[in-house]
Amino acid sequence: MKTKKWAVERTRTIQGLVDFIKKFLKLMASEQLFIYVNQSFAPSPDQEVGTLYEVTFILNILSKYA
Amino acid sequence: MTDDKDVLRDVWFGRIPTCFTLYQDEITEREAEPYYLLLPRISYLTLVTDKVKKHFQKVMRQEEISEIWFEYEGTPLKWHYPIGLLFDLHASNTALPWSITVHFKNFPEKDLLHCHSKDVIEAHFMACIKEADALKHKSQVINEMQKKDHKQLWMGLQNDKFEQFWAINRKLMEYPTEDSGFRYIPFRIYQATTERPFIQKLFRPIASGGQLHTLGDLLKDVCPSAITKVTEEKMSELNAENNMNS
Repeated sequence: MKTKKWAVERTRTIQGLVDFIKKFLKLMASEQLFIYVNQSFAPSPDQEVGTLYEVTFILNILSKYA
Repeated sequence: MTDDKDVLRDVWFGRIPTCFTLYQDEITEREAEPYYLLLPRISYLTLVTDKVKKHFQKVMRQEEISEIWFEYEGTPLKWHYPIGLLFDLHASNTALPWSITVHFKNFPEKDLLHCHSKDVIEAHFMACIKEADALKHKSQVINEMQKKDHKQLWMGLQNDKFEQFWAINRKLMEYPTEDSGFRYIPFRIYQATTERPFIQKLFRPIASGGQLHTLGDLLKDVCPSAITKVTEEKMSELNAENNMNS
């Protein structure tokens, strides 16, 4: 992924992010994408990005896909 | 923490008497009897309802069965919320037992996460523990634990073993003696009446002056509307009493 920083609306959910990144990277629906926050935990798909940002200061998303 | 052991046990062993009924449109070979179960408040629906699933699948044909999901008065119940939370949010003002409807078809994709195995529940539970420790200890305590300790937390929850769970969890509830508390308090406030799923913000256990924050301080800070309503109700109660007595 060339662009490493993205502006995202607060109310977008983690699932929304996953769907967007999958489309952007042209991943197939069956391929798995994992998102971790600050390399310490994987948030629930229905969590809002805005809430995560407020409690972690820096939302550093590391995505690995199989 | 040992002083609070009675409280910890009461929280752990909290139960909600529940009546599970099969959705009327599910196709059965014979009449499906309701199934009664005491649900642990601290656990998750999909973790504790194997018997419920077996009971209803006995009267259904294999081809009519896909992923189980639960609903209360038309609202799909999010299995990834603790059972006690679901009850308090949706049914706390109703008579017991709590009546839940069981479905095996038409999984509501927009409302619920899938739960294809116990591993999914374990992953969700551990993610919550890790997120909480990120707030309490910058993830230091959870990361220093071995994999077997993480497993013990999960097995304790899964098998309803208080001592097994707290042998590990007590480390997550400690803080260095030089600090007066955690870095931040991990909390979430759920309200039945709002659009947003929950309120979660950074909140320190100690005020700048050094005094300990109370629950009231937290509510005033992140959810002031909750305080105002309670104060208003109390005022009208007091006024009504005064009018009756004068």
